[in-house]
Amino acid sequence: MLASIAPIAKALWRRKAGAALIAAQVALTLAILCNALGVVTDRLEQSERRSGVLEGDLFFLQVLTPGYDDDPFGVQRNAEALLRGLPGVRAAAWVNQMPLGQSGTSSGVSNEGSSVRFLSSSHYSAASSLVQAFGLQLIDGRDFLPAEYATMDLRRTREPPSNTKVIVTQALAERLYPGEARVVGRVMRLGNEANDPPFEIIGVVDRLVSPWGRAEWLEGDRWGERSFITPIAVNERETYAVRAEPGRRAEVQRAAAERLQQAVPGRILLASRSQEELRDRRYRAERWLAGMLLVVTGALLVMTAAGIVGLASLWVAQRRKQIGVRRALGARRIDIVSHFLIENLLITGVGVAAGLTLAVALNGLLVRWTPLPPLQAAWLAGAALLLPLLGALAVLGPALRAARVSPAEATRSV
Amino acid sequence: MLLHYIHLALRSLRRNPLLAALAVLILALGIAASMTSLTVLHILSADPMPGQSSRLHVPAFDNSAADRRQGDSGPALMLTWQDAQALLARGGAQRQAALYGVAMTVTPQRAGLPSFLESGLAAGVDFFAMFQAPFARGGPWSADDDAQGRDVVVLSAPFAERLFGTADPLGATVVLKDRPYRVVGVLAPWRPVPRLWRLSGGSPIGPVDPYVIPLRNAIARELPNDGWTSCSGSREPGWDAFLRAECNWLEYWAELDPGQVGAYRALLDAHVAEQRRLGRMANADHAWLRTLQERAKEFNVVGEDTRLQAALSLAFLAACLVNVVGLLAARFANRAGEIGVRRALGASRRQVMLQFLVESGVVGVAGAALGLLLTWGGLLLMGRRSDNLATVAQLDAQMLALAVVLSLAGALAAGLWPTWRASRVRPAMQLKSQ
Repeated sequence: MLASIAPIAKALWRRKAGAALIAAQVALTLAILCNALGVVTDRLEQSERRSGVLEGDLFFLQVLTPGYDDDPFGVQRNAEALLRGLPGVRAAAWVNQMPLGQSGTSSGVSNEGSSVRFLSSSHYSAASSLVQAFGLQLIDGRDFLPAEYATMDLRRTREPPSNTKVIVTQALAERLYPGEARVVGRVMRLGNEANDPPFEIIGVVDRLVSPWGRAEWLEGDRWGERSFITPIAVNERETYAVRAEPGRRAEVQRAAAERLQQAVPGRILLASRSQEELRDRRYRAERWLAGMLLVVTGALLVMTAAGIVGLASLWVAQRRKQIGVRRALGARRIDIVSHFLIENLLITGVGVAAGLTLAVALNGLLVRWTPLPPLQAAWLAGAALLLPLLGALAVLGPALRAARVSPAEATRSV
Repeated sequence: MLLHYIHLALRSLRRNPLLAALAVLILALGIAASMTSLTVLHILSADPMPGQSSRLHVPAFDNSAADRRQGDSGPALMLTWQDAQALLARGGAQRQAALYGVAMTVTPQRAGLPSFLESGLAAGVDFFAMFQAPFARGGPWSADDDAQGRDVVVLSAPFAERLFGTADPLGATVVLKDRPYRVVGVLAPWRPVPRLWRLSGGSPIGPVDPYVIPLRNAIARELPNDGWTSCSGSREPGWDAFLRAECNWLEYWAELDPGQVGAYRALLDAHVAEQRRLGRMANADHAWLRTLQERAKEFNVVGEDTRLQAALSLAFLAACLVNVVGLLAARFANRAGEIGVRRALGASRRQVMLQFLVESGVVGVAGAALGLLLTWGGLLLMGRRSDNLATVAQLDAQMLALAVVLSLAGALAAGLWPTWRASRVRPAMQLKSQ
């Protein structure tokens, strides 16, 4: 087998132009494949990542209520009570921002000794339990007690009550107190200064995504999951999180939007969005990019295979006579097939070698524009295996056809 | 002669339609993929105001706290009210305006229309001239209205139509957050892309703000910023405290003659020196002055994914072209016998080459046509992602020309080498083996 490579390579050298074309095609395909699939997996992973809330059951209503400026907390309490009383509603809470809602507040926080500071984290404020309304998973500690909820009128003060408690996400806990087994009972400072008020951490939830998901201002937070919750109602925009009973979200959302509007004359419904809709809006661009890249790489693979089939067919047609001679001189069918397979392997081998270099070069070019996941060795190895395999499959048809050339053909038209 | 070759090319394409169709399809796919992403890139990196854009500048200061995070340096993206106010007072530019986004309830006067919340812009009057806003009716408010912050408003064309239908809105009132505003001007349909004056809020390809009110009116009414606000340090509650705080939230634009830039920089540095004496801006002893292009870059208007997509689709086009070269080479190689006969009958190499180049050209034209069709489909598909994209993801004459040139040049380049090979066919060899 190995001994036959030399003559095949020699024969190939006489057809170097066609072979170079296929090799170039393989190289380009490999370079694009590795880079595109790196982006696709990154974006899909991002857009599919669990948010920590019960997405199927959760929706949000944003309203403008007349008189909100005069009695914001009364309006909030009434709306929450009304929503909780509706059939099919499990929990409802006024909240300052929506997970993946694309607008909200991030604050710098620090730990007890200020050894960790400027940890930008998304800041959820709620008038009632978000563990209930969002369906969060508490992995340590407890939820807020009813007595721990407070109100803060921003026209009068910007200081939360000094005995405020907080619930943090696992991602934030790990950064606040690296290496510590438990953060419940420790404090988190809202702010970056040593004199900023320390709040006691009473609970840890496994996950709660920020309003933006991954965002550049949440430095060092790959998934945008450093979040914390304060049990404080604030006179900011009126947003109500509502959790429906499983499977009833759509009908409950329609009814709740209607009832909330009817309850106060002149109340304007600004938006009614399910958590699933928020996710779709947030990740539309990412999904579009991933889809487009998948289509392009798919087309590329088909095209490369088609190119190999085309060239191999041409060569088989051109070499019928030589094949006949070889067969007449005693070559078996398997020898003919393996000739074409080895020939193809040589070509794709050169293509793969060139492609690996090209892939790294292209990656170097692309990372200057976009935070690309680094080119993984596994991707390169996978593609380096896949393409010769694809080439072998593509060449198999023409090679089998070549093997059927009868030795008698050598005697014709000489 | 050329016509004859075109005729020949069409005949030969018909004889082996599969290979020809494949070449056309692959070329079209490459063209469509790259044109779709290049169109978006082209739109986002366009200059919406040729001639004017080079005159527009954005001042910036580093007003971070003395004790800031390590590695943080450079100016803030927006201005504080203190700095914006001081710069407006200092002047020094041909025109200058500070602006920010507001959101107010709109109560239409037309019966049957319920109140709704709408975002708009609060800006100094120079905004209209600086960004060359076209007026259909009326004009900007007066300098006096501007200074006093009176209740006056300029409406965008679609918003005026939404509120007033076909009636003339000029002089009519619009109730914004429970207060009547007098309409002094209505803009003509206007959609500069990218929309550069407020990159901190909304999409850079979004529509023009529905209404614009005087900046000082919004400040006096204590309308909060409906957009990006970044505060450092502690502050007291209330609007006045917010205005005094180190909160960066205002866009500021200065229109400068080319000769004015140096003096304006000096003016900004003087402001920094003054503020340092007052105990602010501890971290930098100079100001920054950004051009409009630098501003667009700062806010990443073009977007990383757009560039990524364009680069990958160009690589895809290259792969397509290599493939078409292979297909054409296979086509031409199959016809060595025909070439041999033609050469033996007296055709020169040049004539053979021309014939095959024409054939490549025909493939190129077909590829261009199909490619444009696919591009159009791709843009339509992309438009379904959002209304904003739908209004801007359209081929203009420039991109149309580029598509045609790209596919023709691509097909001819792809045909060059196979053609050259075809013309090297030695007639004797071919005739012998017939």
